[in-house]
Amino acid sequence: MTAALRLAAYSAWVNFQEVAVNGFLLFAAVWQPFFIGVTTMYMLRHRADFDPMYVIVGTALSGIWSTLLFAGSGAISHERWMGTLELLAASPASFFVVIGGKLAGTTIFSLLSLVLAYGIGALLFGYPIAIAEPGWFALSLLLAVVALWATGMFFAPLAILWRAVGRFLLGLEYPIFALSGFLFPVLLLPVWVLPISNVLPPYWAAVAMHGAASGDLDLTDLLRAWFFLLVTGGALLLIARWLFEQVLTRARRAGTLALS
Amino acid sequence: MRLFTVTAYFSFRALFHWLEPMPYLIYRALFPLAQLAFFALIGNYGGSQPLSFYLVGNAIGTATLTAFGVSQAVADERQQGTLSYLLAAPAPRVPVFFGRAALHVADGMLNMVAALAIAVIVFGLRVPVEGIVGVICAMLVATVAICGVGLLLGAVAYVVLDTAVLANFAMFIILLLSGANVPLAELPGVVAAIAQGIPLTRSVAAARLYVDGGSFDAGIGLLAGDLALGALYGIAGFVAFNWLETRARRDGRLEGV
Repeated sequence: MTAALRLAAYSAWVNFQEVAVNGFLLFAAVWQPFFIGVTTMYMLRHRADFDPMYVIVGTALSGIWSTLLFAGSGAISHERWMGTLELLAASPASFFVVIGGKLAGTTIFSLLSLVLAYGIGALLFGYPIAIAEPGWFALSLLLAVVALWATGMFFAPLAILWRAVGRFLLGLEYPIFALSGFLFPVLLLPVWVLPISNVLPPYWAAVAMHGAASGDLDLTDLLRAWFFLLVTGGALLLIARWLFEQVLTRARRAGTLALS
Repeated sequence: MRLFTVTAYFSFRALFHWLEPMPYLIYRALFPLAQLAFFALIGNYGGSQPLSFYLVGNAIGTATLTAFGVSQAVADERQQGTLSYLLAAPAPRVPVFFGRAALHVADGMLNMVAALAIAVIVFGLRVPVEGIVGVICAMLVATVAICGVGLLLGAVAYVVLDTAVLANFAMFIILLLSGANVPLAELPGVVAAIAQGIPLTRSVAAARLYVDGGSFDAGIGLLAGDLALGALYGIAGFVAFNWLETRARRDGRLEGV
């Protein structure tokens, strides 16, 4: 367990340094949320019940999601392009833990979005920013980040097992923004879409973080959101674990890591 | 003319692995439509403008995605290892450079037609019959103008190196400043002035005019303005490309080009 944690920490640190200078992921974590945050602040500020914290939370989630979507779907493929996939797969160290640590580093990096979103509300627009339930918000953020990391882990093997799926994943940026209610309530969407939202970790992340930030949710509702965050995130992680085994099994059978 | 056509065809075909339908559908259908729905629903939730304001703005705003293809068609020559052949070829540069944008105009139009269809079918946008020609013209002008931006970005990418990041910057700046989502009157004075240099601002305004029942003549000035601005961006791209080529010949190297 300690060895696995140490391995994950090394992998996270190496990856953190890599993504911190990656122009595309910097754009996803910093610049895109900046533009989305400023645009949305202008679009929503005329509402009678406008709360800048709503935009800040939604903007931050959009940045975290975009970063993890792109980093997650390319986590294994990137190793292949760099020529390190064979070494990783052949190493006695757990492939799952190495990629898990790698995405943990990206997840920590993606939290820049939250800092930036706060800056947009507080500094650029000069709104007084207050979190109604700071403790619950911190816990919601932690669980949200873990569940979104798990989603990234789910994407990583998918993209290498089925190339078409990998390409489809890249188109999931805005649909998930919308289905998860990052910046508008999902009730604006058609009713038939709501069951899809309910199985998405980003949706429960938005429910918990918006609810704790605004104080609109009581503890019972927050506990429900946290529960579903853990259930949906945990389910994706279990599936991811199985998919990682499929990657290695298929690679051994085929004698190649060019699986798709 | 032949060179223009050949360049247009092959640079488009080679891009984005579009020999397969799935990547094409994702890049050219799912992404713009999701973007349209996302911003339209935020606008609807904000409620400061009618839903049609956001639907029209973002349907025209999908033109920004064309900048990705055009800029990559120019800048990817180095990544694909074909830049040296291009620079060594005796072919005239005008058709080689501008040909890269040609098919993207048609492709961008398809994008916007799909976006507008979704706006009409799903969100109930009403376009008066007498406004249809005007809206189509606004879409065409927006695409051509954005192709001009794409050509400039493609040339700049030889120095900055990252086309995708550059095009993303352009897309979000345009979506924020062109009036697609935020009325220009709400922007600070300096920013609103910058918005006048964005090659979509007038197309968005013209499209809204036509959807609101304005006469075709009323929007011609706006469309001519965007067309001129797009041409200016395209020519700036060509000048930049030529300057980089001259520098490459002088220095005897392609790095930094």
